[in-house]
Amino acid sequence: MKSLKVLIVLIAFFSNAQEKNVLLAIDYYHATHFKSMPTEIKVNAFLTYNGIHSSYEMDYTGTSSQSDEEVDISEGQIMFKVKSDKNPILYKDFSSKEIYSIERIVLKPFEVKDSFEIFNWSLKDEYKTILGYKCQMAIMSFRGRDYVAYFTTDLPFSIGPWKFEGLPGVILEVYSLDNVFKIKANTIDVKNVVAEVPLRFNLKKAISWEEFQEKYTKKYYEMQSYTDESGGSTTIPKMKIERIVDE
Amino acid sequence: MVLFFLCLNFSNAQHILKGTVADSLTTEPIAKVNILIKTADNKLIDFTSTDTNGNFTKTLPKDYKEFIIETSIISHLKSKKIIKIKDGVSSNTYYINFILRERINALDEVLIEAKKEPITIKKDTTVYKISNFKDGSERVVEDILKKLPGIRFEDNGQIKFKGKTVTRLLLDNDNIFDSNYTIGTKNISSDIIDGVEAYEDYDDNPLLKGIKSSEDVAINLKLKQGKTDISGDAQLGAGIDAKQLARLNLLSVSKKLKGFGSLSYNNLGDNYSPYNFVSNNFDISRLSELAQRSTNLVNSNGFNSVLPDNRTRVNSNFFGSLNALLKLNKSITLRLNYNHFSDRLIRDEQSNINNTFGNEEINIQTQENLVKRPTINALSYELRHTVNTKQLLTSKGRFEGLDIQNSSTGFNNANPFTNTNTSNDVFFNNRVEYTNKYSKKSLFQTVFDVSYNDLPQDFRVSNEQDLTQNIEFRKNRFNIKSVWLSKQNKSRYDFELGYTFTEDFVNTNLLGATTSQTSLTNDIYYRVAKSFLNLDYKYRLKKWGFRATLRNEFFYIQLNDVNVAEDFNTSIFTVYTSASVSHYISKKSSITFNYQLSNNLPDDRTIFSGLVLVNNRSFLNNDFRFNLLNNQSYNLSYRINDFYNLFQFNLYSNYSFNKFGYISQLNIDEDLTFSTSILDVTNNRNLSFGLRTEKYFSFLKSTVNLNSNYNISEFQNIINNSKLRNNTSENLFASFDIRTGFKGALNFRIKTLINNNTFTNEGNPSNSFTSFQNDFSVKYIKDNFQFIAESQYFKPDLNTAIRGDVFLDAKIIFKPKKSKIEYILRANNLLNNKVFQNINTSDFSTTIFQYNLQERFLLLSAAFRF
Repeated sequence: MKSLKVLIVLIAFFSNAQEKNVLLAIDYYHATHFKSMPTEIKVNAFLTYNGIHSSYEMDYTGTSSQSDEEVDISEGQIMFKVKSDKNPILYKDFSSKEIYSIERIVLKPFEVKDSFEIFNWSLKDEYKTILGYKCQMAIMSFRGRDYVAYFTTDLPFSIGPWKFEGLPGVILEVYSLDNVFKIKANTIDVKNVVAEVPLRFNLKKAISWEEFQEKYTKKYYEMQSYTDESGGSTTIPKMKIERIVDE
Repeated sequence: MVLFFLCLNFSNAQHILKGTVADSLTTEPIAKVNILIKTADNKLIDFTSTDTNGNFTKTLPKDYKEFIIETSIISHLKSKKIIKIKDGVSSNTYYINFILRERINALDEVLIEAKKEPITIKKDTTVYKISNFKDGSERVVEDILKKLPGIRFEDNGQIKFKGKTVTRLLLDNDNIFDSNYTIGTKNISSDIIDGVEAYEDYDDNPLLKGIKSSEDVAINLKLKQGKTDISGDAQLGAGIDAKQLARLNLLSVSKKLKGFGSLSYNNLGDNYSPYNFVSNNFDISRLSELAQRSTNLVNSNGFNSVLPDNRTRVNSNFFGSLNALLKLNKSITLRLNYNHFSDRLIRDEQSNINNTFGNEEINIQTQENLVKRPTINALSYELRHTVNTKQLLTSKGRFEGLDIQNSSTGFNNANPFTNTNTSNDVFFNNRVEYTNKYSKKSLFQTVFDVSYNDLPQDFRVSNEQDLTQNIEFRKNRFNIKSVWLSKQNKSRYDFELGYTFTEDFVNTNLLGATTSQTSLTNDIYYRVAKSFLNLDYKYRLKKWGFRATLRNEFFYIQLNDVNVAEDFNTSIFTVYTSASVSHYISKKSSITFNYQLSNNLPDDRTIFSGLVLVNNRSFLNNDFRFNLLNNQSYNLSYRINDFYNLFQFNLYSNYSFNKFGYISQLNIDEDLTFSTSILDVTNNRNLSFGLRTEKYFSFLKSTVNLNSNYNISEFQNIINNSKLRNNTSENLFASFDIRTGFKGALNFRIKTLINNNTFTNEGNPSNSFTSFQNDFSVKYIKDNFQFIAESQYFKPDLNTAIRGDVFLDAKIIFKPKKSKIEYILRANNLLNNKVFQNINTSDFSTTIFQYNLQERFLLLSAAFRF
């Protein structure tokens, strides 16, 4: 009787916690090289996933706490403190299947949400080993660029860096065919713990990607008619990593 | 027909996979399970996943006969099933229901790290994609920089970024020009620039980064890769009448050496150098040397013109500059710069001064034709030794020799005169700095610098008498200090302890005149030894920022004046404080309040008591009593910077109070003017307000800018035995500007300016004048052809009869296709205005003056790059 009770408690714990009982922390090199810029900019980026939520922080300011790893343990939970407020962060919610990011129009930030259904992967028969894991190639076209990604089913989580997700394994490398955008993992850390991924978005204020595109396109045409005191003018690009203003 | 139909049917055969996944123990459906679709030889070709009810559905890929369907989820063990496609069946649905067992064992923990690669971290850097801003009319770096948002050019060529001073122009991160960056901005071709970055919080010393905050900015030009090691451009032009232009620029880039050389000759009124001998615009190459330089009484640019410098500069100018940066080895770099400048400037001036004070009225008419020949040779170097990652040793020095020869003839009322003067300015300075960054957040520095400045000036006037004035100002200075900087979490500390020793020598002698009242010679020795301890503290907490500065200075002063019986000795302790509070209301707006209290020592210009002749009719001296010049000022400013809505707003005000200041005592008659400067209690107040705003209006497709400023200040003077006169000067300035941004080739810009100056003298009627200016410009740019026309209307005073002037300039730039040469046709001052009349008032005088201008010319030039 007693052992059955214990078993039930254990099962209850496991079935509730089955999704929470894992923490993946993957470090990537995140590099962008737009055609109009003379050099590539490469920074560290940190992906953290606890089964329900994930966050992807791109360390442009060099002040992320994960550069000097700071871990705080309280009440049996491990919290990763991400100190810097200034690094851009993407947040994914795996239960509601939404991606949240901060997109800027001329430096003004907007919270934008995308659904998980935006990627249209097709698998290819090519393989490569990354950090000891056998990875398979997948390709797709996304908002104006063609991408190649390598994922591993040995880590059966549908997660990936930046907005990328939806493959039956962790994406360890992804790059665009025109060399503008490249991400590659360099550290993988898998732990059996229960952890929180802190959220700093106001999910209620978020607008959809289509609404964001509308606002951006309107501002794009407005900027074309603005000149400053010395006769110079500013334009905003039609395409950053994703195409925003349609041709 | 039937066959066709059947065939189509077969090729559209679609097989669908459907099913569910549930837990073996609880029988609950499992969501988010990956369903892997593999070929018979275990290759993954497609996939799907279960929804919240554990269901999945997917169209199977064509052309395969057999599939392995496998589940994959971390919490459960995997399960496989095989599907065989039935032959001859066109569409079929295959059902699989998986029952999965939970994984009891914990997931294997893993930590894999690869070797680190270098990353680029950019902080405090604004990167400009210059292709967004170029419109094709840019020729040199200055033309591109002027168009970048946040960057403003002052009249003297100095650049400001977001209101902060730009102190360096770097070429691919190398400091080749040091403070003389106008050589770069005015001469480097815009074609070889790939990108521009602005580094805020910049310091030449990279060890200070992160510890000492700096208000300085450096602009970094990124050069296009793949160009040959040597590139350059040349331009040659000739026109009527007798106008010539020749320019050659060379840029050399290699691993060990970066060099830039520039040679130019022009008589068009253009200036490609950092030196300015025409107007009062402050010479930026001397910004950091003010405390080390002495005074030139005879050849200062007292000329203040409302017109742009190139209209009033009638020149014949040769300028050459060589700049090089050598990387001698891994830790030592050497920078060398040499500049040569020589010019011949012609100025013809006439003025009619009407002085009214009390019951007197004195009228003075002067006319002068002046030829000015300045020559400069300047050499500077910097040797930098990076001892290790924490220590840096630098030695930096400059030598400059300036020679100005002036000769003029003219009339002073009806009396003819001839002037010749020569002045020399020999300057030498060397600074050695050692920096040790002993911890991540703190560092220590020792600085040692020595300087020498000698200005002999010679002035000869022939009118009824022959007068010869010899002047020599000399300054020696020596400074040593230790600095300790530290940065904590939210605050920054700055400590400085040091000693400065300055010696000034003033020697003057006037021959050919006699007077019994004042001495005609000066022999002064002025020595100041200063010990100081300075503290600077900065604190930032969320939306508030706070800064306090305290300078404690102990002076030992000695002043020996041959004209004064007793030598003057004193020692004083003074304090300089400043405090400011800023509140960051939102990301776009902030409000700042600042208070400052300063006590300054009188400088060498105001200590001589014997008379000195400075032009054909003016004598200067001082009634000097030693006192500290005490000043308190209060500043309040509110700023909104909403770049998204293209709206900027800045409202500011300033109040200052001077307890001690200078009072001018003037004695004027038709022939001569005597001016004495008296240091005394003045209690003068100064108040100013300003507003500056800019907004883009989409219905006009134009940007509108409004700028206005009001200033009122008090000052005193004594004129021809009057009692002390209390005066106020008020100035109101307003400008309004519209610039269009049409997408087509044609664009306009209209700017209107009004400036009013009013003087009041207690009870007496005021002198006032209001000037009005209107600029209109048209730009047409299409493919390889550009046409730019500008008109400027200027009326010196709305109330008097002085006529207004209209100036018209035009420029056509054309580059034929497949040609490396660009042709430029330039028409200057098309209406051929030969003289410009202007009016100036003070509390006791009204002056109408006119001077000569760069006359009409047409120039055709060809430029090519290689």
